[in-house]
Amino acid sequence: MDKLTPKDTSKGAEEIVLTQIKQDFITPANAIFDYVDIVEKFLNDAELVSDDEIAQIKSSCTHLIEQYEVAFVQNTGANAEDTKKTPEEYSELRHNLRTPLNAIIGYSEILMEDYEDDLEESAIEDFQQIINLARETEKAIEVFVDYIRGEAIDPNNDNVSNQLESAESLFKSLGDIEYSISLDDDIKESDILIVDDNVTNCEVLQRRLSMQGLSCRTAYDGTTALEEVFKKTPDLILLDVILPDINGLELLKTFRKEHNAESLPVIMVSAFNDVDSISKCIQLGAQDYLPKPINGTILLAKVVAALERKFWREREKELVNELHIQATTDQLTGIFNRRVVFEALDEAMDKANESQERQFTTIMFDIDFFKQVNDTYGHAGGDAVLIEFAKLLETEITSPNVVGRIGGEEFLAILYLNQDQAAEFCKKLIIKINNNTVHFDGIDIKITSSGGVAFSTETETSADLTNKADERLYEAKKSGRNRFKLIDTELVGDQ
Amino acid sequence: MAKILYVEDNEMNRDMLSRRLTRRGYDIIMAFDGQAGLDMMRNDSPDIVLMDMGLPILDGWEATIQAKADDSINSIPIIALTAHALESDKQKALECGADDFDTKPVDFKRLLEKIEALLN
Repeated sequence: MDKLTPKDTSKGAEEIVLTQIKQDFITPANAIFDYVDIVEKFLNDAELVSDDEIAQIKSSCTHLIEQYEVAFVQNTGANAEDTKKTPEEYSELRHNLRTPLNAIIGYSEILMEDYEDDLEESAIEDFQQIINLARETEKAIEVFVDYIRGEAIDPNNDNVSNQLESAESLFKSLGDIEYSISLDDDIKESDILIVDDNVTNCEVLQRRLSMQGLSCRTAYDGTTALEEVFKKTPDLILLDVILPDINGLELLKTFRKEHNAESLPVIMVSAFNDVDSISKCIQLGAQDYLPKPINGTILLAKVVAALERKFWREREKELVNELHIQATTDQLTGIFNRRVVFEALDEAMDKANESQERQFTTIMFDIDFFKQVNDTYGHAGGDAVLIEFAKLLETEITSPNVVGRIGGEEFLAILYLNQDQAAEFCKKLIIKINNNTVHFDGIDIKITSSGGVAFSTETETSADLTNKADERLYEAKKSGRNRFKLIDTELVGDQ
Repeated sequence: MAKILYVEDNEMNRDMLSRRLTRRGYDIIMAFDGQAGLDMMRNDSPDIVLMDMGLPILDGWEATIQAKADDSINSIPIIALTAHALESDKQKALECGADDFDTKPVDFKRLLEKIEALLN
């Protein structure tokens, strides 16, 4: 295999390799911090004085990473050409990067020597781990400096060359894959708010999204963004972290006071691609994160994912709501169905048995001569009567009282009234029913109703209670209809 | 006990290595740049010099060349410390007249062996 050099590779492949090179440095370098924290805790717990060695290791490590970051930015990508260095300068860079490692290893060894007898074996291993990580970091620095010098990477010794190979083949096989998406009409109609102080960024985002048929609003600062959201809540916000007036995180917090993550998804956009700031955003309620510079494909995939999620959630809620309505209402009249009323009755009975104060009244009623209504006006006329009667009951009987249709022309009500109040209520209800007229097909239909009234104090079970109400309804019918039968009274309507 | 002159511009490294060497019983004197290093070689007669190569004012390479060209001090052994692990760096250090060579980060045990070897 020939040796690969950076200049032989395509731009995309180079980026992958550089990312890997950086990763190979950053991972052990950051791990040093973790282990230093661990050993520091060990020393504190064992009440061992560590002078300033721990602080020195930490500051060397910080210094190391900072220097690396600067060198990385200056020597890679577009900057690389401008900063071509002499061999001496590369040597110096290598020297500067390795100097902090010397301190990290040295201080760790000092601490190990000092506390050889005091530290548990696991703590000694942790110190050893710091040293190992520093050695690993050292190798990563070598690879990095070799790479930016444009030196050949030895294919026999280094997995970087394998990465170059596989990155190359990946890019070749990617070829000209075309990315297009088909959007549901619902999603196409969504309203996206782009918040970015950079006008060009806003325009680029807007154009990319509008090419897919999505419509966007823009805001160039936090205050305008708040106004836009107040005007009309968008379906999605693309929010830049850095804004001139209110920063993106503060803005996100403000949005979250009024809207939860489901009703207002937010995708953060930022050039900070460190894990800390990304996880902060997500902790604060951002759904996703887009690193700058923005890649069009990833942008679209994330935007569509966020919108789809929102719309499916909403649709799901609607469906659940619809199902709930279907399961609890009577299809013809729109008032509660049999199931709901009987469940409510069971519940009311349980509570009445628990407490004297929760006594109630139940009324079972039906429409007199309903068969005749059907025979005379047809089923459409019968339906109109049922609907009108249900509407009257719904108007008269309101929460916490319950009324529903339990079958044919039969209705059941649960009223939190005592006997006297119930009698009073029935009197008024009879009058309302008598005064009511159903208009059907140009004809005015008058109806009457009979009812049987029973009280929770009379019994202990809801089945017993409905039987009593049913018996009284039967008596009311027998003694001439258009009347409500209570325990010892009968309330008769206009004859 | 042997007196070591440690020429190093990085404060933390100076502190760290000097502490470690002091613990081993050596007498440590320090200089922060190549010129000061040369001056101390002349005035304080150390038994051995640890010379970092990346130094301000006068770098370690140049300081080593000058030391080896000066009859009054050219017998003092110099261990060149570089961050460059390359064979060419080692070659360069020896060409400058350094008696031995070690890389940073320092392998302390190995460095002690080299110091002892040169002192005896």
